[in-house]
Amino acid sequence: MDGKPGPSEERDETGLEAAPVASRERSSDPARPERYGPLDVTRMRKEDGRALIVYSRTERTERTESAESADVPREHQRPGPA
Amino acid sequence: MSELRFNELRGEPVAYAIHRQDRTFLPDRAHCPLDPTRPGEPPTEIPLESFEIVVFDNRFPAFEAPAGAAEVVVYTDDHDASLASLPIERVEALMWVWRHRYQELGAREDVEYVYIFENRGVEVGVTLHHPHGQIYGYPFLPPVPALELAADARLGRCAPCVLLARERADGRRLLFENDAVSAYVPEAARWPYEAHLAMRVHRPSLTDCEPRELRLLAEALLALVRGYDALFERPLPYVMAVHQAPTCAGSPDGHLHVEFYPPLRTAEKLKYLAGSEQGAGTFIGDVLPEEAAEGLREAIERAR
Ligand SMILES: [Zn+2]
Ligand SMILES: [Zn+2]
Ligand SMILES: [Zn+2]
Repeated sequence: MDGKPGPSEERDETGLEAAPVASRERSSDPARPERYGPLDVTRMRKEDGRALIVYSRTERTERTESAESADVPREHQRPGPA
Repeated sequence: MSELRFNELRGEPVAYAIHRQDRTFLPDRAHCPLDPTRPGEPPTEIPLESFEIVVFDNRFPAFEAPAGAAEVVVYTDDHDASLASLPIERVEALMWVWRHRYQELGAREDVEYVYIFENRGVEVGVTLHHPHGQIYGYPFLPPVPALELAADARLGRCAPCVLLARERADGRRLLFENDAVSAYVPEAARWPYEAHLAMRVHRPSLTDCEPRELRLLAEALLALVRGYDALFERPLPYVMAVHQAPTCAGSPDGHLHVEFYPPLRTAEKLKYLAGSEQGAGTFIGDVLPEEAAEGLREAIERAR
């Protein structure tokens, strides 16, 4: 089970691992969105500490263009060793 | 809390999610936990007044860190929508969400297989009608993907590639195709109206797909589920299973495809898993896949 590249070190941030319960403020004040393909990705934490990810497609009008020029780097292709 | 045991007689793991008995069961319309949170009202699972797609950790997980994951994917804030009623842009966005979750969960050391699925309809045990799917990150390779890898070994190369080529050569069970995806009823379907959507080019997972292929996959998904609802002129219950390459070390191959198992034989009659299916593992059907494909093709045309 070793040798997995990719964003596993972000585990704490995703909240998918046991993490301290976020404050009430945190859940109503999400971090700045990341970009993934045509989507804005905003990570939040529910009051009980569970992770919540909000996906939105803000520029709805440029949908095809934004999908075509998706800023997904090649090294972010499939997980698992090459 | 969940507990994993190994069933020696069948050679397969069984998971016990012991709190699941208390989970929300078909709450009334005004108390849907997947609705947006309305101002001045108690928060639902989603503390936002509106949203497009959200993913959150299942409150009653069958798997959780450090031994897997269980997530809920809510497709829309519209309680009365369904996958079939969503606009293509939303379904395309959903493909990107699936891709993102596959990538992120698959990178975790404790996730060997990322399984995206949807249960639709009370007939398959749905407890919430709000349009949503789920993702399990299994801390082991589950039996069905393991069988598909065994099929690769038996056929000497990628089984979905081989089967897709056979279906295209035969043609009788093909439902439709676009530039990236073929839809067909498999030659030996287990469910009466089972259908598979397969990427025509060998793509192990969503992360190997070009943006245009994700769009075309979304179009194919919509065409199929709209056709399903037209088949018996009622919302058709189904289990939707997205199969991709496992994410365990040693990285076995895979071929992205989506399987649908609707449990209905007719508008009213359910196909039950009974003696032969459960005790012997052999499905007995009463609709030939060629006939099912014909009916389904017409329904898909009507729904377009
Ligand atoms: Zn709802
Ligand atoms: Zn293949
Ligand atoms: Zn499959």
